[in-house]
Amino acid sequence: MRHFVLFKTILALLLAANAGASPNIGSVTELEGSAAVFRKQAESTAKLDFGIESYDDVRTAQGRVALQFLDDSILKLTEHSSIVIDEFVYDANPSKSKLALSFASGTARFITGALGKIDKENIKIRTPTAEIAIRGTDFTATVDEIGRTLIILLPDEFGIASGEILVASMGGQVSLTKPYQATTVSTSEAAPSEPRILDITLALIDNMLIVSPPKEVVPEEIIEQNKKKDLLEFEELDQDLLEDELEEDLLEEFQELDIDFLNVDFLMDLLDNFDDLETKEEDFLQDSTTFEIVGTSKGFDADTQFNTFLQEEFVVLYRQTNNSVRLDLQSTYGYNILFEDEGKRNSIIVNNGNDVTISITQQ
Amino acid sequence: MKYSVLALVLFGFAINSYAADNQIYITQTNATNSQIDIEQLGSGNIVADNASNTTTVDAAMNINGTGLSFNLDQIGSSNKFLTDLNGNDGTYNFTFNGSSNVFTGQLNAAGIKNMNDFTFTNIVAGTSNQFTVNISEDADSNDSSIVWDFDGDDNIVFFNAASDYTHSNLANLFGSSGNVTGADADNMNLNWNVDGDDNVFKVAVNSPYVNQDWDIDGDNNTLDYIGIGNAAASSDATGHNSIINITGDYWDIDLIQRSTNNNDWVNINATGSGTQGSHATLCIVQNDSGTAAGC
Repeated sequence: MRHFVLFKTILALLLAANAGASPNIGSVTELEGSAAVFRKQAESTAKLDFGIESYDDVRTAQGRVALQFLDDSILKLTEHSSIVIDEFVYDANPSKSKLALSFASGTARFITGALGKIDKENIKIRTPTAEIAIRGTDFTATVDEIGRTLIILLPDEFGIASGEILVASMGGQVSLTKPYQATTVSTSEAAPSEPRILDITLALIDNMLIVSPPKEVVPEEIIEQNKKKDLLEFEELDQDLLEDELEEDLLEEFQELDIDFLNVDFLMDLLDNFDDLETKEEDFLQDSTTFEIVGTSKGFDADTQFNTFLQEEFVVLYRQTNNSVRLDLQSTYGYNILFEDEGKRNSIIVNNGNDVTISITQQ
Repeated sequence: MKYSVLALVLFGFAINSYAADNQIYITQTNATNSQIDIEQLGSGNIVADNASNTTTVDAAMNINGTGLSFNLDQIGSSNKFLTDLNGNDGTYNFTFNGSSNVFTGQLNAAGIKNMNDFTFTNIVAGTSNQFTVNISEDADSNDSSIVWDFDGDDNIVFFNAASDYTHSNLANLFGSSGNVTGADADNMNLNWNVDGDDNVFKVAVNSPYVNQDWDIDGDNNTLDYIGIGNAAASSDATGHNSIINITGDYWDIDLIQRSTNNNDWVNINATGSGTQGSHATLCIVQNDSGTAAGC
């Protein structure tokens, strides 16, 4: 590991030497849609492997981008985000490393690498209303059009707090130390709000901030099973069933907050409604009651445009196009749902139907 | 027994009637911040206008004025309340505790008085009551807050706001069934709390930014709602917004949101059901073409 760090240090120095006064401090590693890098008032279109330098202003419009810095820290920006990299200094000696970012708008997720070891005073992340000090943390920052800031501390891979965040403004400061603990800062003069733990999941955050769809990962045990199988015994149906089972497991976990249309706007909504949010200290588990449905998939169905999930004892069907319909139906009953949109008809049956007839027409 | 108060400019009075067949007739014009409290106990009582035929009772009491506070308690059965109210910033509280009462009213029917920012509360404890209320027939009644509480069975409600949907009761009483011309009932907040069985609600609202919240607890309740005139809506859920929480079984709900714009919202939360032979039914139509659509 030490050799690896030394190698990276040397690499950074070599990059600095080659590039003159402005060495690359990272690069674009993921890109979806379009993004731009403003450097000395000149605009460049971001591409994969595009080198990032100090003082670069990275902006997205209808696109998302991920930057990876020399210390393996990752910064992901969603649509309509803007951030200026004021300073980045990487050194094998954490006390000599520095990071300074100015986050102007949008939503970003920071996943710190070796920078987690840097002294806190050497890391400065600014928003229009707040300063954020971090240590070994994974967190999101959302800044709306008037500068209000929402900070959420995310858990590590073991589900515990990934570190600590100090959020400060001219009005005071608060510390975030628990997973999904969040605070907002409305103006630079106002104190950060009392930290609250949000009822959200890391899967939701990941889904919102994903830049490039991940490659399909096949579990090792499946690979081993397939290796052991005689090719002549292979039956496609078996594979489909297995995939269906895996998919079903994932869909059973689909919850309201997984609805894709919320997307990063959800964080903006959180910023608007932070004080009204219901929060909980722990136990993010939902009722495990099951239901059967035919005609639309659990989770989001692209064909029917319904989001279907279980929330406590209710089957929830949610559809938002131009208008919105949400049905919270007790999961112990059966429902026949006839749905028509622009002449296209679908029939959805929940729990074999028979108890309630519902017709929905969106024209 | 007959009380008659004609063309008075009153700033406050209260009437308590403790016998059956009381008749109170009121006409009041252009009073400001007046308060009228009426309590009738017994059966067969009437609050109306003295132009009424004493047999058929067919004229509504008429009150015009800003800041009116009108409180009516009819405690008993087979009472009748006919009213025509006009004026901004009013507060209207009605309580019907009995059965087979009739409340027929127009608010701002005169067409010359806006009725903005008013509060309307109607509490009903009884069965087989009939209510017909038309709001914003020919003058605006924006930013109103309307609450209906029902605790009983077999009640029937016809409620119109800025709508020309025909209700025969209104046409018979006022010579008109409503006129949408120039009238708006924007930002209306409707709150319905129903605890009972076999109640029927026919509701039509023709204006944008209408929020209605229904809590229906009982069996065999019927709701027909149509919301139209939502052209001003510009973003999510700024159109007609309907939340219906319903428990009990065999409910029958038709809900139509029709406009030349979109952004209407429906949320149904149902914990009851029907049976295979007799379903609970729900019909939702969201039509952005502005053309007529039905369940």
